[in-house]
Amino acid sequence: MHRLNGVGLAALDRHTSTSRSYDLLSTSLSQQQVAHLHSQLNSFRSALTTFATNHRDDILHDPAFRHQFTQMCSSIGVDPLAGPRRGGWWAELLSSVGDWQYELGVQIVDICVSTRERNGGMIELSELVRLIRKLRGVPDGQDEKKKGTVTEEDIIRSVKTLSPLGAGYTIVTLDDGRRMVRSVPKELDEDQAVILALARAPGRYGKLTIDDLVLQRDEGGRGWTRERARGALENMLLRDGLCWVDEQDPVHDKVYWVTSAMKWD
Amino acid sequence: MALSTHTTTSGFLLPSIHSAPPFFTQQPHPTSLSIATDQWIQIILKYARHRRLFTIRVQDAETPGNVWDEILRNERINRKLLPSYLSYIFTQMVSRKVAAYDPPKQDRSILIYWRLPEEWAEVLYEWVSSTANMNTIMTFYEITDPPIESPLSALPIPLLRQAIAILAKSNRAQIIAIAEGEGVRFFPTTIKA
Repeated sequence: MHRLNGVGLAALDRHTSTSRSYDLLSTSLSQQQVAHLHSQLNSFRSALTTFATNHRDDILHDPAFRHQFTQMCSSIGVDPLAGPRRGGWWAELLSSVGDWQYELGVQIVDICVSTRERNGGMIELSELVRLIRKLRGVPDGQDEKKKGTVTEEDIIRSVKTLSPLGAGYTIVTLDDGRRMVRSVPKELDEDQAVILALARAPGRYGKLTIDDLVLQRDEGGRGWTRERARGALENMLLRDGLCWVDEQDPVHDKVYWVTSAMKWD
Repeated sequence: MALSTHTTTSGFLLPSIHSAPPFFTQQPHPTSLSIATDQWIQIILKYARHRRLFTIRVQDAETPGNVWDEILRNERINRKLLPSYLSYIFTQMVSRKVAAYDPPKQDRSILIYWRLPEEWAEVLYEWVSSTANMNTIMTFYEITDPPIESPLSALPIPLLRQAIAILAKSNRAQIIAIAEGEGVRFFPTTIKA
């Protein structure tokens, strides 16, 4: 080092000039890189725009395509639902997808609110899909390819976009894997989740008694005590209004009917 | 056992909620209670109109074998509306002015307004005018039991009085004391000055 840089005061001078040259070089290099990135970004942006414009109809009408598109967006870190404020120009580019999702959100709220009276604010995801299809005038049937149809994934995504509203819309997964949309801002405790799952068991149509809960067994083979069963049911009945009581059953003093599990024609 | 609508022997269409067992018990949760009560009021009003019934009593829910059996009881699921709940429904109907306690000062029996007194006033006035009874003095009996059946046949006297009182306010009727008790005279509407 000493030999290269020389000795004495001259070494200091040379050192300064060298580092200045390095600085210059690195600045120009990074400028080049930024320019390169900018051009890449621009071409990506235009490609994305063209893609979104060209395939707008497909995005709006074909659920499978829409799913793929949103997956692609999320894998490259673009959130089409972030909205103009958070998402910046991304959101503007992909506004067709965002609008579609918001519109679906409005329909979800519409259905959740209008069915709240009969289900207490809990609606099964598949039922919600059925009602939304009905609302949109999409003919019933399992044809996922059909134009304008809505899938459960679409609804889950839309429910997430509703979260800033603070209305408490959430997806609840029951023990048996069924998913429900909850539109009442209440915490479901674990016991209630078990009760909801049980109330939907085939052939039950929402009818539950304390005995039913005492007799059921969890994975560990443990049952509930009578007090726990009564407490959980009374909470649902008195505090949350999620079930109705029938006091005229010939066998049981009190029969609880979980309204969201009752089947109406 | 999905809940479905049901048509009674008198041809009345019961909503599907009427086949839900808990519908017949008074609900403890305020929201559930108001939903169920709204439904009951609708059913009672519609059924009263369907069968031209004007009164319902708590005892109609207590003992079977009366005109209200078709809605107060559901034999298919072995449920009946509990009298205490019916009594609560009465208070709600009275406070919503779709019924009134009759006779007054008790709460076991109500007069059902499946047409409001204002509506009955118009029906009455229409009928008087279409049967050319303007300016003649009529007894209450002639109105509620005419030789040819009319929309006013069997109208309870208290309801008739209210309707006449409403017409009297707009100078379209006047109560007159006559030999057999009371009568009423109707006046054609004068062109408003």
